[in-house]
Amino acid sequence: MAAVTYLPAGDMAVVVQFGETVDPVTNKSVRQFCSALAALKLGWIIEIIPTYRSALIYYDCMKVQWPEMLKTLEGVVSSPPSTGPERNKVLVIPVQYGDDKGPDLSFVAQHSGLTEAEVVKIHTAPRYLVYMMGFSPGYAYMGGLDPRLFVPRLGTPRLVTPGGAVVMGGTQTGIHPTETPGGMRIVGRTPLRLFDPSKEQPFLVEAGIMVEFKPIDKDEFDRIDKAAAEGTFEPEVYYEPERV
Amino acid sequence: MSQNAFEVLESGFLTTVQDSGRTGYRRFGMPLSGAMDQYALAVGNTLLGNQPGDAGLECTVMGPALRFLQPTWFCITGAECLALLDGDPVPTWRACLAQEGATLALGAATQGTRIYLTVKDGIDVPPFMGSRSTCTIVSVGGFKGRPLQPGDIVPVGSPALPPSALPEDTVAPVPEGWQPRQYTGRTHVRVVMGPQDYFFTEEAKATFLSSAYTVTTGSNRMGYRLDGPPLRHTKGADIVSDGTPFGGIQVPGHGQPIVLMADCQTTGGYSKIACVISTDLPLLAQAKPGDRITFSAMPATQAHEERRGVMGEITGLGQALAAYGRSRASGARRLDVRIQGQQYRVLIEPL
Repeated sequence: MAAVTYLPAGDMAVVVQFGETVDPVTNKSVRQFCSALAALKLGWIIEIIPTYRSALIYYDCMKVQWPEMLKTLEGVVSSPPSTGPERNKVLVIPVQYGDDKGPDLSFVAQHSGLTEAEVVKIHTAPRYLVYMMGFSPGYAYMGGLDPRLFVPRLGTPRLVTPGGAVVMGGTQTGIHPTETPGGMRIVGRTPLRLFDPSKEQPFLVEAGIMVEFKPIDKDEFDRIDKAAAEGTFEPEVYYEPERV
Repeated sequence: MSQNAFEVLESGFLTTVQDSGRTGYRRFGMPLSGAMDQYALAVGNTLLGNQPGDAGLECTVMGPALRFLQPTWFCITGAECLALLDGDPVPTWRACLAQEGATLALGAATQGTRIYLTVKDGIDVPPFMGSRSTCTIVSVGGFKGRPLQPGDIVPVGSPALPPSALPEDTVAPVPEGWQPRQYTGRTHVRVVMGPQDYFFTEEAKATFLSSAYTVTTGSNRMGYRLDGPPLRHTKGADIVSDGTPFGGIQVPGHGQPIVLMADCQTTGGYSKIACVISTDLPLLAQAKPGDRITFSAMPATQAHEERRGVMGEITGLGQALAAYGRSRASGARRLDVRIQGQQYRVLIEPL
């Protein structure tokens, strides 16, 4: 592993950087560091933001001096991670592909030289690692899209990409938690609420979990949509043995 | 019917409820939000005996007009503006009392951009995810997730008191000689270099620290887009996306810096040449399109000392006011006397 670097981000945050690349191993180092640091429950830590290959630590300089903080962070970095087999949480996201829910599915199929059914099969095959959250509340940066589904983004972004839209563009696939403008291709929609401000825990996804897509039909979409609106739908979750 | 609230008569240009910000959810992509000028908010609250981070109104460019539905102590800080209480000018940076039914009209910001209105015991909208701040990006928090509109009835936290139970000295005057930090209209901003200053040429770093950058009209609560000599990267502008703090100065491929502000995204993929120190963010918050900004660098440890200094001043102000309140409550009085040409302050306490 490359040497860990500590980069000031102003006077209220510091970047703890584990590398320059996007890969599951580096990302796992970041997440293990974040968990171990959070477990110390230090009063001077305001927030811990795990990202692809670094963590942004917000701290309160009224409660800690820089040398003490650096020593603590270095200590956590160099301490061995907690051992024992870890099992990754897998969240199953139901998606209605195509039709009015996925207006760009036919483009993706055409561009990739596949049938629409093949696109759905390829997209629902892997478990995607959530590397980090960002861009908008509840948006997950996921890795693991099959290169056969790499498609160019829209030349002109749509003014409205609806909440729940399952999208792809470039090397990325994702889910829009809320209605936003967007340049990604919309292949389907999930009835799940990835950001539900009315809930005690408003976010369905967090960094480090795996996500799997499951194709559903319109009737199933409507049924889950109704239950999700009433807050009674429990998404399917299972645990897999860890691969990295 | 009297209630703990004020009614919005005119909304101003962009008036939102803001506090010290929404921490704890940035790892889910939820922006920090909160007052752009945390100094003005903290002082406005402190002058009323509130906690520094209590919720107040952030009024952008043009202030609102309000009618108080009960007697209310309030304080105006931040950008300079003409404030009229029932038509009479009221001082800024000190506590003022509005009677029930009084109308407060805040005019245009004459120096600076953001006027803050705090009220005794804070604005009492329901907290959302631990904060009363408005996040206009996803329309949550604050007052129904949106800027104030005429007709809104905005709740205030203070318990209802009959007017006779509001003695003038429940809120202390500012200590003699105290002045707010002089900052509106100033344009020199201090930064800590990094975290990706190593993405830039030496020439770019020198240019950044020696040139003036103009605030453009594409500036808002999410970010300030600046215009000036372009800053060149050594190996491209894009980084593997990482966390983005309030004050981070990111530079896309076009070379023009963008300072990330309170409502900024929590992560981003552009290299950040530097970050504005927390105690100078209020300077930028008060800058307006056309203002020219210059930067100088200091180590993070020196920025910590700056922060400790400013926070200490605010705490000290709160302690002085609390001590004054205690002495008034005990019947003690401070007198300024002159003896043989020398000024003395005398504390007289009843035995």
